[in-house]
Amino acid sequence: MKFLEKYGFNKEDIANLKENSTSNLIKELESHKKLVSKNLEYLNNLGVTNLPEIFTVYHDMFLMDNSNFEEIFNKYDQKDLVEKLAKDIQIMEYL
Amino acid sequence: MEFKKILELGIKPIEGETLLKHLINIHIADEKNVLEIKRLFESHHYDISLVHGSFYKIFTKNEKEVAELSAILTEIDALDMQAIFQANLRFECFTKNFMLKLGICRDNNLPYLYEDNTFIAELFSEKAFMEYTKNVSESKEQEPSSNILSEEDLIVKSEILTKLREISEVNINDWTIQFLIKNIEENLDSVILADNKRYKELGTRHLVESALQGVNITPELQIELDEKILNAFVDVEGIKRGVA
Repeated sequence: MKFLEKYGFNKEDIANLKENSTSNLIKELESHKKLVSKNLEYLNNLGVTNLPEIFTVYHDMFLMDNSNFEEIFNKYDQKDLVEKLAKDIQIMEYL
Repeated sequence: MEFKKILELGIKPIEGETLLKHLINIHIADEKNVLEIKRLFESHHYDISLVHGSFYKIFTKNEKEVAELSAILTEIDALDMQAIFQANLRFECFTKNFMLKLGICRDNNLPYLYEDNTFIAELFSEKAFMEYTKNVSESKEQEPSSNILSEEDLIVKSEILTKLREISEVNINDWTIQFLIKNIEENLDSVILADNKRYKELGTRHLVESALQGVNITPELQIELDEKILNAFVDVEGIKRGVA
């Protein structure tokens, strides 16, 4: 999962991710690095400040097709969304 | 697994949420394991008919992970906490790591629930949990200061602390080890004082064990303690030679 380091994940974040996932999902993330990176890149560029925290719980979403993934977030005001995600990552469920 | 099959099982997302974001979980889930996971939750009296979308990750568990889940559900029953976990149906709550943290809170009388019966945020973040347990330890009553220790005692203390620091550095991201080491360090002076220099005969391993007497050690913590800390103190004769 070294590719995650590019997005500010440290070793602890990666260990935490593995604790909160399954072998099957980790395999999927590894084999779709490009797609996952593209989706991470998108949120990173939006200015999301707590990417590792979000990814640890909602990494399954990052396996979505990039256009569908972006569509989820495009509907909202960027600044407002970033602030809300920083306060409570569980809003990811309702986007 | 086919999408319609999971719907037929009656496991639906909470109103206002969509499954579309979590379809990958169903796609890679093995039907046999999904049925077993559903059976396990039901046999432990959980209602999983309405769950958060992120909970669907649980259905991607392989056979080994399903067996671990079964053990966790049994452990929750033994703690008589099924109702609390029902109110916290999150993938993260049904992990070994979470149970370890919960055990530390319970055994050391640290609050772990908000008023609405949801688990505190600290249980979901390694960093926040370390900070949380550190704050509580710091507020404990101060132990006798080290200036009462004899020169011989101070040498033994220094040896133990050096080893603990080495272990701490190797396990810098392991909050369990950090938690145990912190407790050993805090209680070391009083343990050495109470020992009346029996360490000359017994070595230092028992000092480390005694320093943890106030901490309730769960079987999982015991494994970590043995493997990563106590095994570093097994060379009793060597330590004795260094002290005498």
